[in-house]
Amino acid sequence: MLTCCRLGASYGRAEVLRGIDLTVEPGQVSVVLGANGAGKTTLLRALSGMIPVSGAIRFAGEDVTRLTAPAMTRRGMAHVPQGRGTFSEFTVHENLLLGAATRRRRRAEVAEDLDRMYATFPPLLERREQTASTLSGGEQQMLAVCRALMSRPRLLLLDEPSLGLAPQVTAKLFETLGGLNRDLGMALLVVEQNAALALEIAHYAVVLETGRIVLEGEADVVARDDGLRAAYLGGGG
Amino acid sequence: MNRISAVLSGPVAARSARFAFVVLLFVLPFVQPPDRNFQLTMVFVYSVAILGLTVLTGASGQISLAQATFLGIGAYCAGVTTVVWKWPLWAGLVAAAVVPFVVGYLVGVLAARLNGLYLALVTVTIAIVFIPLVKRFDGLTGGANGLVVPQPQPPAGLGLATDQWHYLIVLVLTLACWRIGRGILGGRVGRALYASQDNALVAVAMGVDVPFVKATAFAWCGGLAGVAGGMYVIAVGFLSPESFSLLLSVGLLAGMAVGGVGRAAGAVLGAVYIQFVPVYTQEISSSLAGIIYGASLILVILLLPGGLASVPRLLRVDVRASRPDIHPQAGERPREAADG
Amino acid sequence: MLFLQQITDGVATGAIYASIGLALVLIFRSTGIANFAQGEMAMFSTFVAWQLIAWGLPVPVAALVAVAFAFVVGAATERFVVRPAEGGSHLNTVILTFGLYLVFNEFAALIWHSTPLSFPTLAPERVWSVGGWRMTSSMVVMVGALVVESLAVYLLLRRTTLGLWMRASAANPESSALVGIDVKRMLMLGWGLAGVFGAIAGILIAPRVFLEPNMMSGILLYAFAAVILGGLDSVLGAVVGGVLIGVIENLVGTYVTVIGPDLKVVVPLVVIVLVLMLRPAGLFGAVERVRV
Repeated sequence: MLTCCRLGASYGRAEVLRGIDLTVEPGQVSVVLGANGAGKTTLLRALSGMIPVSGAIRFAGEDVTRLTAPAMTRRGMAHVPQGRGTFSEFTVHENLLLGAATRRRRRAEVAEDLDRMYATFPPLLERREQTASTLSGGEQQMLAVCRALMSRPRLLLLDEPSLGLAPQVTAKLFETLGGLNRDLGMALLVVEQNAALALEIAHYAVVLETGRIVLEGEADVVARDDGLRAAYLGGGG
Repeated sequence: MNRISAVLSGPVAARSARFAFVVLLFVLPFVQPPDRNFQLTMVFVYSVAILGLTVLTGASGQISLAQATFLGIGAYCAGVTTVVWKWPLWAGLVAAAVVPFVVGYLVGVLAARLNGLYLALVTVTIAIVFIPLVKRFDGLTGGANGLVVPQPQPPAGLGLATDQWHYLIVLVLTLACWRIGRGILGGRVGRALYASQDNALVAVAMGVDVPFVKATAFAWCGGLAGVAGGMYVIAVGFLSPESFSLLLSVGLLAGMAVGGVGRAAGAVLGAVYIQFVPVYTQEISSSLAGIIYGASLILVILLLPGGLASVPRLLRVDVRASRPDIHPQAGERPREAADG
Repeated sequence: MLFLQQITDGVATGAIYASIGLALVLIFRSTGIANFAQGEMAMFSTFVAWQLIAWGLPVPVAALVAVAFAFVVGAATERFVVRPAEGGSHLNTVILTFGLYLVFNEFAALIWHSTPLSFPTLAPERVWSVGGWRMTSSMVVMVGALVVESLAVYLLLRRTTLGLWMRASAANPESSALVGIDVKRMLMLGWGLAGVFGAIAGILIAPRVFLEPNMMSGILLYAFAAVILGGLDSVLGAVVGGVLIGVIENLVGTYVTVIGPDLKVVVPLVVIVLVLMLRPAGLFGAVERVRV
């Protein structure tokens, strides 16, 4: 459903991404691994229309290379940025409402979705009128994911969802993400430093190094790769 | 061949060119008609005012919308002291320099605690309050009717016309201000100014008293404007409060933006711009000049990468090129956001 | 009785300051900059209204058209002048607004010249007298307009989805884009609305002070004093600040003889300096970081 061809992106004169060819199939969980500075965040920003790119991107059969972020969101790609991008001075409820910005006219559906979010994640309902910045890290991550879900995306981009979260919270988070994929058939493209956990729920994995793909394949194959294990999984075992 | 080009582009060549230019300036009044002399005299006046702004905005990154007000304060000091209190002209000029210097320092003390937006607001307020204040004290200032100030007459026997005499006095004062200005921008004070703008924390760590330095910048800015005001009195001989309006302040800012970018001598370019644009647009409409100033200010901001904030970066390059012994201590990369 | 008169007069003028103040707050909250050209844009729209009246349109219709014009001019200014400067420092954008100040001011002088013109009230003026206390219908309209405007802004920002989007765009433009909000359109909307409030204030004050290009510069100062006092990001602050400034100005002008009516303009200066030194965030504003 998402394909990019020879995708490139630069910040000023520094070329951060080069010749990226990537495909995400519908209903598939793809994970992007790599060290800091490898270009993982830039890749997501390039895909979701936040920065100008060279090359081509196709989403759901349409050429979306020149589209900006709001347009991409309207076409069904939601992006949870690094650091979650929460509207910190707004309430939980307002954050969720904002997530539905592309579905303004479908008020009844939006209301239904809201109810469903609150039902699935009771802590959010409890904190409905609280300012988002008062939530814990895990709760904010949950909020960010729910906010993204409010736009009923077909593909969800997540940038380092485990950042700053305690291990149990991260485990629960990935459980939820896996559930989203299984139950709703939602495609996920997850950028992660925590390779082990990400590979567990992934179908496909891609490893970036200095802006290029150096390794890719089925998740379990990539997980068994020696070079990868040494670099990202702490070697041995 | 190489040696010739080396000499031509070296500091000796630059200094000789400047010397030749100054000699030319002294010769001009004798070969030009009186109204041209007057216009050039006004260019000198405005250039000193813009030079003050350059020290303030360029070197210490602060904004002032009250430069015309300081010009006015200086002008009225010179006018009132000589007309009402019968001081000699030179004493009036000293007052014209000192009073705005002190007022500038006081404003600077306040300004050091404010970021760009609030500082702009405070200076706008000062600019607007000035005119009714002058009108109120009409016993001293002549109020709305204005104040006529007798202009200096050329000494007998020299064979100079009055416009030439005024031109020469103002030119000498301008050159003196230029010397002072270059000294401020290039010397220890200048380094402290740049340091306080670039990285306040680093400056503090190096023992630079940032609020004091910023206040000093305002003082110099005001003082230079004040001298320009004294020169204005000599050149024009008549003061009216409406002449020193917020519109003129914005015009001076536009002049600095258009001419002052890239070199300290740009203050002269800016002054030429301000003085001569109205001369040519007057016939079409008296308001066209203001529109051009405003539009040019907008264009400079939009087109120049970094807008007016790049003035310090470019200024520093110019100063360092001519005085290679100076090294601004706060690092190479100038800060983008001058409003803090 | 004189005291009461001064208070009511002060509230009425304060309502005008608060209206411009609302425009300033709108722009500050949506784009983070202070628009020093707000008064001149309002003055220009008022001139447009005058021109339409001179061409024969009934006063209320001319006012409506001028207000719509102000919306377009405000939005267009954001789109074509302010937006290209986005990404630069805020100081640059503030200086930009001074360029706009000059352009609007002199452009109005170019078209309509500088002789003060008289401007009609929206409806025939009625005066009510109780004892020595005088209240005019235009005073009522000024206060009424302020009430309607502030209610409108409050409801818009707090109770509508569009208002939520505008607030979100101002607070977090990147995340707003990611959820699909057209941030650029929100900015234009903010400036357009500010233009509307400015035009309304200009049209209401013009009958009193005579229409000329420099009509608004003093008023802009009072408006700034009002929002500094109330807090640059607070709608309530603009209203309260405006009314307070109006009242203080009037009382000082009448009772403090050394200042008197011609030096009343010292009041905003003193208020601004005092507030910035003692409590820069103002009465209702969020605490702002003042430069080191």
